[in-house]
Amino acid sequence: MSGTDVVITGYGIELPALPAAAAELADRLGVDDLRVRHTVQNGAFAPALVLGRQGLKYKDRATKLSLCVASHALNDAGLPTAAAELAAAVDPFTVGVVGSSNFGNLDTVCRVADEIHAGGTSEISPMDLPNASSNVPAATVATWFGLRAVNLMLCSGATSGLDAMYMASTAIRSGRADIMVVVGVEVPSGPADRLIAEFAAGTPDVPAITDGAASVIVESVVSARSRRAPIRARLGSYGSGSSLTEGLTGLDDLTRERPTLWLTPAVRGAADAEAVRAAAATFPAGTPAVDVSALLGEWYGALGVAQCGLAAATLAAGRAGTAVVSCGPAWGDGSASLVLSAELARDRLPA
Amino acid sequence: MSWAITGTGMVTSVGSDVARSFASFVMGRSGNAPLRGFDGRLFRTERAYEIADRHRGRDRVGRATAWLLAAVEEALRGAELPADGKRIAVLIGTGLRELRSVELWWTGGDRFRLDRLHFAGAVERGTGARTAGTLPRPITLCNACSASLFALGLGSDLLALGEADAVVVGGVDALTESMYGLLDRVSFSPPDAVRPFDRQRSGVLLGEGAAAVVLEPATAAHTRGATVLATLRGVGLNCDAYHPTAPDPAGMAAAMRNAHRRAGVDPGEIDLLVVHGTGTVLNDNAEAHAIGEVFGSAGPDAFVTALKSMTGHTSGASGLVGLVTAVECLARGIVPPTPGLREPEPVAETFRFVTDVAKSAALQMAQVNAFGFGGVNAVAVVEAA
Repeated sequence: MSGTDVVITGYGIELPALPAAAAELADRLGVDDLRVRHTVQNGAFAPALVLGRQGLKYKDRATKLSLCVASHALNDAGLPTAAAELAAAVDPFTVGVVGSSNFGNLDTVCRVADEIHAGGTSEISPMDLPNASSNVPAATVATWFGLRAVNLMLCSGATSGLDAMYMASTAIRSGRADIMVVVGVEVPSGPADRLIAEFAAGTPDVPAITDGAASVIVESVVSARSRRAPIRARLGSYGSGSSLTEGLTGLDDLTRERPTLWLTPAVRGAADAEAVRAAAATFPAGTPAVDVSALLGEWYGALGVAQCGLAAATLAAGRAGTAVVSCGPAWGDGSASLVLSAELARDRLPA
Repeated sequence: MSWAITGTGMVTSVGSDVARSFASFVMGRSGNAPLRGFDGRLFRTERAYEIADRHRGRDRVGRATAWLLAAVEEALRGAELPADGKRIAVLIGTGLRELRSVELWWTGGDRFRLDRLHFAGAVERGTGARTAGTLPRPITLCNACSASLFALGLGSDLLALGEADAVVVGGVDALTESMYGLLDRVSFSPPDAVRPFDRQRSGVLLGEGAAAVVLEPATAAHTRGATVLATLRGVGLNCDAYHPTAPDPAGMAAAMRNAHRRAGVDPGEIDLLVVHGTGTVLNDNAEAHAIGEVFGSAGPDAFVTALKSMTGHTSGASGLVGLVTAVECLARGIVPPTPGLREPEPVAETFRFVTDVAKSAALQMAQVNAFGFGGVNAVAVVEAA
């Protein structure tokens, strides 16, 4: 990617239904204190604990997860989470949002269609109108935190999370924003579960959809330095293709840097395992490879965002190295990969 | 920096391609018809601007994808892009994806597969476009009713950064039962037609459509001797950060100023304003206020037209339908009318609406507005070739 350097200054992961995930991920990545949260009360997701009680009524689960995780990530990047304080810290017209989700509002759409069939439109709630629009997570994050620059929602299948990272970087390098809040979210539901089950029919196991959200704060290096933010990693090149190996060939940084970590696509079944083995041959022998999906389940459009947060945390902890993150091919979609590097993290400012 | 538009495509309820759609617009022909795709007994609203491509009226999966491919193919045919290993990015803007197909699968048992929910696979298969490499596979951008103009802005960014040699931007939407039903539910009295900016307007009716453009750096298009249809000068993008569904005039005005700044034009240079104009009380009033704020209280010198009077609200496709139409207006010196607009809303009283019949005029610069749920605003400025 050309132009301005773009860095990751914060991340957060919200997994209300996976209480052990933080410890498992910390163990696999060798990093303590990962920003993985479980915002639960009496066993249920309780976003009010993070966001307060006001304004959450009628918001769908994907949106509440998105708000919650964006709050975690802003906080991690050293930014205020109250809209007024955030506006005082950074110009709201320079902060944008990219959301990524495929399943976010499937439940609302199918339920409303069912209700209409059962009794006409007098049976449906007008409060479902905003949630019928697929961009509700990205738009609501903007409204909640007062972020007035470019606002995007990607629903681009298995590579959607990494594509969102790419578009966030593009928005910054094009001068449309200095800071982009990237949010990936997926939620299980009747229709989402059935789409996955039907696609996977005939294969040994049908994965469960991960219920949760991941967020990464992406920022121009100039902005990060001017506000003395922690720089965790620099975004490098992006590549895509119909196969994993083809996507990896787009990564020109790899000809210069030996990766110290590879976050692989989800490995399900022999074909995936073989594709990962074949792709691993393009990396130096001994490059550690971690399948985040094996720990967290099928995170589809949110996976790439979560991987970038985790890779950045790992690079920042080690203060060196280059990580590659890969999503797909999966669910009929191709593959994408992104390089993150710690080269700018080395000169990060003391807290 | 500016970008050459070297190909356009469009499918609407009044035409299966750019020429047919534009000819209908110029004649003031509307696609307004009794609701065809859904069981009318379930809704108070009785009309929509649907594309009449269903066999014996039975709805089926994949209609949006088919129109998108038709529009993209028309644009690619026109652009005659050389097939010599160019880096081509594809960005598809949509409000409702293939959610109509999901509804048919969920409620009626039609066959549908997860990867058909977005458009990457269909676009790759349909066009044979190889997008692998340093660019993403075709992006499905779900930015509500301004999605396709957002896609256009992002496409121009990829060219400006030198990441792509050419960009294909598409927009598409088909009616969904859930969105049609929810708009029916919140409507005080369902409208029988979309009457943008009219004092008697009573709300929005959904329409169906798709549009596409091929965008290249102006210098590259010139070098390869391509026919340039128009020049994209700039696209402004922002978010109100204000309300889930209600518009904010300040955000709309900021998007227009952003577009003018990026395009390097003054409001006075705009000759044609293709407004968002959904026919809702709120949108048209907010848009009129925003235009007044940016162009001055006397209103713009530009001619103003609102295509949703003929296409209905084509949701995520509408911005690009407006842009492709603006390209035709600039090339031919004709402004299509806004049928059904009798007496403009008070805030827009001074606007130079083209109402009953098309207007011939020399046009150099056009502005296209698109605003969506969640306060996502996109404004494009396009200049005659």
